[in-house]
Amino acid sequence: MKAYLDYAPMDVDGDRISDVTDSMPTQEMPFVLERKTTKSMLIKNRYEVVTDKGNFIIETTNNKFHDFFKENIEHFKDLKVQWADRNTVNFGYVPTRMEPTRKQYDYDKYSVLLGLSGYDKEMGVLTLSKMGHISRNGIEKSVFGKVTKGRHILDLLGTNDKIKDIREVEVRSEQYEYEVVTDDATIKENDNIITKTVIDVFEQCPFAVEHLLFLIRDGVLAIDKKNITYCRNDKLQGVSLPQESSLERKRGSISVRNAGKGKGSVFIYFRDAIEDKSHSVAGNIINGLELPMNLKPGQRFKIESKTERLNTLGLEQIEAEKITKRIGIGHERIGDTDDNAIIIEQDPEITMDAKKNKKIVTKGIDPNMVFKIRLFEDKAPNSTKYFKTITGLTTRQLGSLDVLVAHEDLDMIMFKGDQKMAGELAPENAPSNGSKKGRIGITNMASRQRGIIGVRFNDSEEYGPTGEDMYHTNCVGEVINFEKLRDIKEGDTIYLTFE
Amino acid sequence: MFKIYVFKGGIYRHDEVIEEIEDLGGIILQKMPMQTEIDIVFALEEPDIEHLEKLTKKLRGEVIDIPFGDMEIAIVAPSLSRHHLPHPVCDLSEFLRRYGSTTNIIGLARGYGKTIFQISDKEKRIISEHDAAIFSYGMFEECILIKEKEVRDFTIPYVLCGGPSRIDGIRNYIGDIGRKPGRMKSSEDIKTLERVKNLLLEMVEKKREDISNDPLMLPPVYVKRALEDELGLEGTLGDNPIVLHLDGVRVKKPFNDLSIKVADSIIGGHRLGDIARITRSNMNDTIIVKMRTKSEMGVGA
Repeated sequence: MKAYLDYAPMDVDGDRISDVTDSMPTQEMPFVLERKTTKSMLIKNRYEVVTDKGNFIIETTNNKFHDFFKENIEHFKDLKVQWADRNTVNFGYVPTRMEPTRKQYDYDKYSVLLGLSGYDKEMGVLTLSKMGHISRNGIEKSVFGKVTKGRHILDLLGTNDKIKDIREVEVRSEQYEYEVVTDDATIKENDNIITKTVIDVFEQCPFAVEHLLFLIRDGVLAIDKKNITYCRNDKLQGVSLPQESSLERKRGSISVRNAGKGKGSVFIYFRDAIEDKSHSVAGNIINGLELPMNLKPGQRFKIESKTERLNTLGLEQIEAEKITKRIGIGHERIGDTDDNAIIIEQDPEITMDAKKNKKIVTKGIDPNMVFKIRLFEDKAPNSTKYFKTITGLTTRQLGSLDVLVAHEDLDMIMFKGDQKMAGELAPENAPSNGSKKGRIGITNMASRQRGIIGVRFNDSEEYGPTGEDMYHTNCVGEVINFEKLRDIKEGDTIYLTFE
Repeated sequence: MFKIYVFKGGIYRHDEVIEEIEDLGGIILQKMPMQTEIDIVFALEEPDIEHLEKLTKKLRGEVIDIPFGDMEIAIVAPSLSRHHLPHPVCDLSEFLRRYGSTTNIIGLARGYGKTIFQISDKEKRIISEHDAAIFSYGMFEECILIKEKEVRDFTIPYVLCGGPSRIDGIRNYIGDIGRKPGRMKSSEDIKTLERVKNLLLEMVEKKREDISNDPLMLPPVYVKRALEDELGLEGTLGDNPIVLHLDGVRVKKPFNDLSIKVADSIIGGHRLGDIARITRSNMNDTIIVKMRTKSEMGVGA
């Protein structure tokens, strides 16, 4: 049996998805089966009229006048403009069998009708109405179509012009139906199993591209909200981005909002939408738009970018070298240049700039100076968001914190926060059973010192990691290798990665 | 195709409505905050309005369709003297403004008198610059029949109003208006004004359908916003320097001062002068921009 896997044809033994691909759809991450329902559909009753002055399209309705036009189309192909006035253009003459009438009728603008010159059956004319008017046309209610495209030609036609050709326009539209599958479903002949979406990114909006590539770094994108125009992912909502050159949003475009409450949200468009300054268009979908179009909010799909993200922060120097060699760009090590040194800075940091530059410089530090952390995203969602924003972990794999207070006699270490941002940090996940060593605490909005981040080296029943009482402390996570924090001094910067 | 709507609701969380309109590909045309309330006039493609209404209902606001919001309509009286002008012309104008239209009242120079009535060529060109016209005539059938011949030339949608309830043989006629000694505020009069509006709407819908069948190179609302940004012509509550038309815009600035800048504006990747006809208006020396159709430009014909 012939089937397609992500548009690639293949011969299949069997009729199950498992016979085509190893990966299986799930309830959370379904596949979409694309099935052609009819081979093609011919849209009829549309004619292109070729004249000396240009082409125009007429769309006809089925009635006896249309039948006459169709039967005698060869006659109509050689007609000349007999007269053109402010109301009509008239091509003649065609012999008809129509009964003449002297009644007058109201004709709409751009109507296509049959008429009789001098009320003579043998002098049939094809009349195109240039404006709404009332006239005696010789035949009763003989309108059979309308000029739909190229209407400006009607004003150009004069008595020296003629029809060169009339062609029936064939518009073939292929009809597809889509089935969302969540298990090893049965497939039919010629089914296309769409398992992933492939995207390409644009150079014009490098920050939006970086934002998008970070969001899809795991190769998966979730749909949070959806309507007929777009679907959106709000995972990185709240992340600030600069305003970049705004481009038109086409069907399949991926844009990142750069202003307002929804800044940082990523949109996939199903219909064309005009450009807007608050949207930076990062790329477009090359294949697999059917996945986001057919999935429901809450479901996820695989996504793959043709352009690989080039960000080596948090990696070892040797890993960065392997990546740059694979991509084919230069690499220079500075700082700690050991193979095992962890990269804390990359210049340029943005993927598109790095690729344009064809070289990156990476600064390494001793791996012992990088701390592994675990965050309690379920228990303290707002505090986690605050912590990620302060450390930069929202859009990077490696974050940093500046030390505020550290002393060898002090049983804890404190880091700088953002008092303004912490103004909305309500109490959550308070360390009710005492503050455990290694836990990361944030002083919440209930205290004047709000926003400060701290870690305690020993358990305390009385005070939280920032020295405040428990009610003023939000517990956001823990440092795995916290004992090494004792060596950190005031003014230092520490680096964090997820365990 | 874009349609014009107005959101009426509270200031609270109105920024979410603006963001949703932008996300859906709509355009904010005007914001009018009034203490704790706000009116937002915006353009949005018709299928998207259902989704937006889910949000506005949640915010206890409402979205109202203003069918003539992207139109400039001429209300033509035979003269501006008290013999013809009050009150139907003002009532018609005021009534259509409620549905979003920009209306211009035009008094003809030779409009009085059955035998000497005429609409000059310049007047015809001024009226034809509008998206639609309403001719407000008098009480006598014979007089209207003669004056009607002068309006047959107009290619724009028009409605003819007059005193007799019914006159056969003329197009788009609505009776029971004629000359009125007072305001048209009785229920009967309001029904008559509704009939004028509905007839005009029917014709305008046909024109919209024609435009959607043979789309313009760029939507006029988009051209308006781009020109406002490019030329620094943002409107205020009292002044709207760029007026929307169904097939273009009117830039209410002197032709000699600004027409070259308008033509050279790059909008949607095109030079505006290449995708539109830019002409001097016969009305107050303003600039008329009429967008060319895609088929005319050989795009997707």
